[in-house]
This record gives sequence, structure tokens and C-alpha cells, in this order.
Amino acid sequence: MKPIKSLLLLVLLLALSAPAIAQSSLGIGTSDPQIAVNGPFAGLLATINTYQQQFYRAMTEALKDMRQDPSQLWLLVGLSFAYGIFHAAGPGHGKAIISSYMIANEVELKRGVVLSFLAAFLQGIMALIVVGSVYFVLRGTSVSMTDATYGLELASYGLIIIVGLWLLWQKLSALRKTASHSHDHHDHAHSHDHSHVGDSHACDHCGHAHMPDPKTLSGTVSLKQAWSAVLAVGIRPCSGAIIVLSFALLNGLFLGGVLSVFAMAIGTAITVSILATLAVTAKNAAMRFSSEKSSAMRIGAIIEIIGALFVLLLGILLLTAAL
Amino acid sequence: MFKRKPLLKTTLKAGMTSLFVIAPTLNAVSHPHVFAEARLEISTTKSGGFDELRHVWRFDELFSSSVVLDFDENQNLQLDPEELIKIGNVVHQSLAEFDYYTNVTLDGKDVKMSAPDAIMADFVDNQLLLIFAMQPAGMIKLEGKITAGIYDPTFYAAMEFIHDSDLVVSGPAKELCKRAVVRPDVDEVLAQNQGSLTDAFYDDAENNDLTKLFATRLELTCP
Repeated sequence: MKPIKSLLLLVLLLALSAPAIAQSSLGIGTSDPQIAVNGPFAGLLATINTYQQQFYRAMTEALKDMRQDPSQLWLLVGLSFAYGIFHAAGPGHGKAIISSYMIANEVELKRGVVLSFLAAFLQGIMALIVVGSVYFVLRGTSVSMTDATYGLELASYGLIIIVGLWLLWQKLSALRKTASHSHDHHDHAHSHDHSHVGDSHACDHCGHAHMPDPKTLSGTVSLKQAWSAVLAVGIRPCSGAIIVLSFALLNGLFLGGVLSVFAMAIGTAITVSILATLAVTAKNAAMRFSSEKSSAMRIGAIIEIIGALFVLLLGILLLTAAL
Repeated sequence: MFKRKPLLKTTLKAGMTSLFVIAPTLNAVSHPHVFAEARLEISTTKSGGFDELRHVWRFDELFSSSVVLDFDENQNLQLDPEELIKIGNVVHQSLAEFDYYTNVTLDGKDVKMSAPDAIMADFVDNQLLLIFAMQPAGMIKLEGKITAGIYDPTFYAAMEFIHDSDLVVSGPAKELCKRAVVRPDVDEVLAQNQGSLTDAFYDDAENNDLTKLFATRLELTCP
């Protein structure tokens, strides 16, 4: 397993060289982690960024106006939804994790959509919990909102690393099994001393896909893993939601704040679902390109391992940057 | 055995290659959740020198309310003097790493500014105010081209000068130089720096100085 060891070392080195960024430049509040994207998509992302900024400002304006005019509520909800959609399209880490998780794990698309929604809603609920507990319980203690968010952020990144390792281990052990099977198989095929016919053991593997069927994986394990992924992504509330809720709470606009946060969550979930679905579709297309079944499976395995590595790498990068 | 290694190897190789190609570099390109209206004042001396840069930053109500929740130690939903002092200290400490968002240049070269003694925090009309002054580390004469601007290299806070009149020259020599407010066009800056942006711009927090190209600045053209 030398290559794996050196690979992990490389990933670690790569992660350690990531620049360390303070929680926020002002020292108050936390900034959302984002991933810089170079190349052809940079322009598109810049455009998305402009839109989400505009929606954020419009949303906050609507919230402020609600103090005088409660009928702004529906405008607020609509703007929050739009903000959620654009916010998730920007270079955040949540969608990268969910997409990679789905690529690495042959999750049904439907389940991927459910995962995206659960993660986004968990994020909204966590924002409610953080602001609510700060307001009602923690205010006056040494635990500030910034501290609470920071703690959850570290927990989130730690969980992402665990999910990444888990996926990688799963994929690599599956690959090892496959490799040893094909080795057996080929030895038999090239030795002409005996025929395959009647050798039921070898024939079990003839033309077999060599990858473990996802359905044969124990159901509870994959379910646990899915929940871990949801938890890893969703446990850290986003800064926008926390700021909106703080203001809503201090100004007695509780309904507006809660509806806004969940409208944001729905918008986010829709975008993440679409992106994750695109990623999985791309993977399937890549697999279809190869005519041979065995090479299709190989491409699939490679893509899955990359997905798992990506989750792991992102987790390490995020954690080292946050510490 | 001979079949097993190549498959693993090619997989890992392909994996590593693609990881390096798409390797995400964590970077602070997040969109701001914090907005501040800024005022900047260059103070001049009788002898034609630039002796102080004064900042007033007024933060938006939403962010300000999260600051209340963060620092309201006595739970009265107000920021009292002691709590405001604490806020000033926290910001003072954090901003040191980012040169207090301040960028001053003389003929295109960065001017070293000494750290402010303290940052004063106040809370007026539900808005957090930060007030502080910085001096140039050495004596700066009003000669050549002097610029002063602010920007957050991490994009956490969006610092804005709403009106051109928010960038001020004061003191005895305030009429000495021609004053202009430069608001860079983002598209233009991007087009001019296409080559360098891809590499340096996204490199890391330290090298992110190119963000200052986008910053609104006060430009003094002195005789």
C-alpha cells in the first residue's frame, strides 16, 4: 500500500501549505469559507457573486423595512430564496462536499436531492439554535456567537475529514478486491492447461462488474455515512443566516427572521441538488464513453476515488485554514 | 500480482493528477456580509506635510446587531462603555494583520503607516462606529502623487465611500494638492490585469494585494 501512504502524505502536505486565514478580518463574526476557482469558471463565479451580493443587500433592506411595514415579509421571503439560490451557486464548500460524496458513492439521484435538502435545512436550524441560545442562554457568558460558530465550524471540518477517510477507505478496499479478482481471473485465462468450463468459482467472476454492488453494502452503513455527510455540511450555520436572525431577534421580527432563513435554505438546497445531479450525470456519461464494460468500471472506480479524495482534501484544507 | 499494481497505480496517478489540476486553494473570496460606510481624512501640516490619516467607519444595522449579541456581557441589549472598549480592542488586534484595511501610496510605492494607538468603538442609531487615526511611519511631504484608500483583502467587510465628499483633506495645507476621488471600474481593472489575476490574485491572503486595485481611493496630485 505504498502508493496510498505517499498519496496521503502528499495530500497532507498540500493541505498544510494552505494559507491560514483568521476567522474574520475584523475579529468579530465569521466569514464563510469559500474556494477560489481559477480558469474558465472564474468569470461566471464573479457574476454569481455580484448577484448574491445584490440579493443579500436587497434582502437586508427588506428586513429593515419590516420594522415599519410588516407587509414586506413576502418580499423578504422571496429575496431570501433568491439569495439562497445564488449563494449556493458561488464557490462555497457545501455543494463541493455533497457533489463529491455523491460521485464517490453511487447514491441514487433522488437520495442526493434529499441529502442536499437535509443539509441545507440543518444549516438553517443550526443558525436558529446558535442565535437563539446566544440570546436566551449564553448572553453574558464567555461564549460569544463568534465562538459558537467557530466551534461548529471546526466540528464540521473534522466531520468532513472523517467522511472523506471513510469513503476513501471503502473505495480503496473495494478496488483491492477487484484487483485481486482480476488477477486470479487473468492467471486462469492465460494458462491453457485447463479449461474454464465447469470451474464454477472462476466463472462467478467472468464478465462480472468487479465492483461491489451498492445494494450489497450494508444498508445501515451507507445510511450512517449519508447522515454523517449531512451533519458534516449542515452543522455549521452560514454567516448570512446568523446576521439576519440576530437583527430579526433584536427588532422583534422573529417570524420574518425564521421564514427568511428557511427560504434561504430551500434556495440553497435547490442549487446544491442541481449541481450534485450534474456531477453524477457527468460521471455516468464518462463511464458510458468507454465501450468496454471493464474499462467503464475502471473509469467509474477512478472517478469515485477522486470524489472521496476530494472530500478528504477539502476537509483538511478547511480545517487547517480555520485553525 | 502483476495485474494488481498497475490498476491501483493508474487509479492513484489519475486521482493525484486531477487533484492537482482542480486542487482548491482556500481563499477569502467570500462575498461580504458586513457593510460599512467609511469616511477618510488626510490631515496636513503647516509645513506641507501629511501627518495623519483618520478613519470613521459606520457599520450596517444587521451586522451591528450581531455585534450586540456577541459583546453584550451584562445582557441589557445595549453596548455599554466597557463593552465598546472590548470591541475596539478585538478589532484593533485583528486588523493589525490586515494593515487596518489601509493602503497609502506615494508615487506608486506603499507608504508604511504605524498602527493606531487604539480603535474607538461607539454605537449610534443601532450602528456600530469605529474611529481611529494612523500616522505615516516616517515624515511624508506633500509631493508627487499620494493616494489613500481602504479595502478588506479578505472581502469579509465591504468598505464603501458613499459620496466623494467622504474622502477629505484637512489642515493648513489642504489646498496644496489637487484632490481627486478614484472609483476603479471593476471590469476595466480585470481586463488590465488579466494575466496577473489568474495567478497572483487567487494565490493567498498575503499576496492578495491586488484587491487594492478595486478600492476607492483619494488621490492627491501635489506640486
